[in-house]
Amino acid sequence: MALKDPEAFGQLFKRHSRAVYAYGARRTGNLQVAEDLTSVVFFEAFRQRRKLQLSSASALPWLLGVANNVTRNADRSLRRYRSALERVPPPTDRASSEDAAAEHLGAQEALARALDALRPLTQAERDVVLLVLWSELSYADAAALLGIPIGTVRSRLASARQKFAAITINPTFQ
Amino acid sequence: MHDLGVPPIPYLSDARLLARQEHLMAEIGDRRRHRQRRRFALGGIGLTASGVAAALVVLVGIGTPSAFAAWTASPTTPASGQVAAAETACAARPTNPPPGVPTLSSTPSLTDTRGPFTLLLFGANTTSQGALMCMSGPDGTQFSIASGSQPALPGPGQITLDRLQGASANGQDYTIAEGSTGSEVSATTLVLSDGTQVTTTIGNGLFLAWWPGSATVTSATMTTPSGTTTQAIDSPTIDTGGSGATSSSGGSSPGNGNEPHTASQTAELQRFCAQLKAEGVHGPNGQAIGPCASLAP
Repeated sequence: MALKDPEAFGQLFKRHSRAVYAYGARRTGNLQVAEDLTSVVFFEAFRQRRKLQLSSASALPWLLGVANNVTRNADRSLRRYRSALERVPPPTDRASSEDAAAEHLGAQEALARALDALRPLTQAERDVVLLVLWSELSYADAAALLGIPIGTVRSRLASARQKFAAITINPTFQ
Repeated sequence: MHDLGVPPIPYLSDARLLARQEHLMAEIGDRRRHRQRRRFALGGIGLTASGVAAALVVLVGIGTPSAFAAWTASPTTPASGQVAAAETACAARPTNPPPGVPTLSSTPSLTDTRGPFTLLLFGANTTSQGALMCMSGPDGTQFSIASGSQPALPGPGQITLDRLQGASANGQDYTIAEGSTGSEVSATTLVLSDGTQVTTTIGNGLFLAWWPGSATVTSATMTTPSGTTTQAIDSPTIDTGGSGATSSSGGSSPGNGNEPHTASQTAELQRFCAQLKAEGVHGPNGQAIGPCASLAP
């Protein structure tokens, strides 16, 4: 995709914003923060667009790489774009209704439980789980994104699975 | 919950995403307008006697301490997406050359890649009044160059060095050579004044090369069907900005940018300089550059 103008970038947002939002939510465990981080990721992506070299048919791996960096220090990223985020118009759809709020809260709690389950993992293992299992990136894309060999992606994923197997067998292991 | 299953994420409505997208577009538009004023620093500019063709060097986003560490003396095969990314980045440059000079969004006449650097040449043929060059490298490094009209074509098996343009990036000089190839020339290597041999990229009757530093060209080796020949090059002085377009060894468009202009040429120059000023293009110390410095404020 050519990113020569903001309109092309708008198409990129339209195509991949949900995936970036989901990644942000699973990374931070906070749906509202994930919405703001989605904007921040695309601000950063636009700023870095000259670095974009599509190594696959999709720009999503590159965007998730930006998201990975942004969410690594979410507070700092949000502060950087605070003034811009303050200009985001308030939601006007049903997401502001009571039912939607309850649904939102339920999802938030489920997300918190899922992230809690990741606590036994190292940060490096969490990165691989988030990218490969939860965001469905290929091993190759995850390896390129993280700057590690593909074999390391496999070994980290295997390590994460072993830890979860140990937890399942012996819940006191952590 | 002790499994690695994917935690569900509530569906984000189209309305919420659209609001974010529109906000993003508005913010990007504002940021681009502000950034354009900050990002440009000028290396040099000059106008030829025609008053239309110009030599312009724009340095953008220079930020690496060893800007040319990855340069190679021979062209390299571009990485996947490298040329497309360069074309995209160059097309986004707000450079606004005078009428007749091609724009950065037109189809390149020639593309030279050396490691991570991509140099695009626009125009520089008999149908255009000028040429425009844009280089993009790692970390957003970019420079754009517009230069004067194309001189006469060389004879069979010969080349003419039409332009030798110098500038600096992050305090490091570099030089771009652009010229024409005669018929039968299938490859050419430039021999520089410091002994370095630089293989050019050729195509469409043109050649293109660049190198770190400010060495000039002393000779060239051409490959033709009848073998390899060497040609002495009367290298033009490197134009480092403010001294006008480079003249060619056999060129027909000399000029140092200081010749008197007609009223229409002056008006053209004023329009061009006003555009540069609006885009934040200026000399290293903020002064107007090249012939723009001679214009009344």
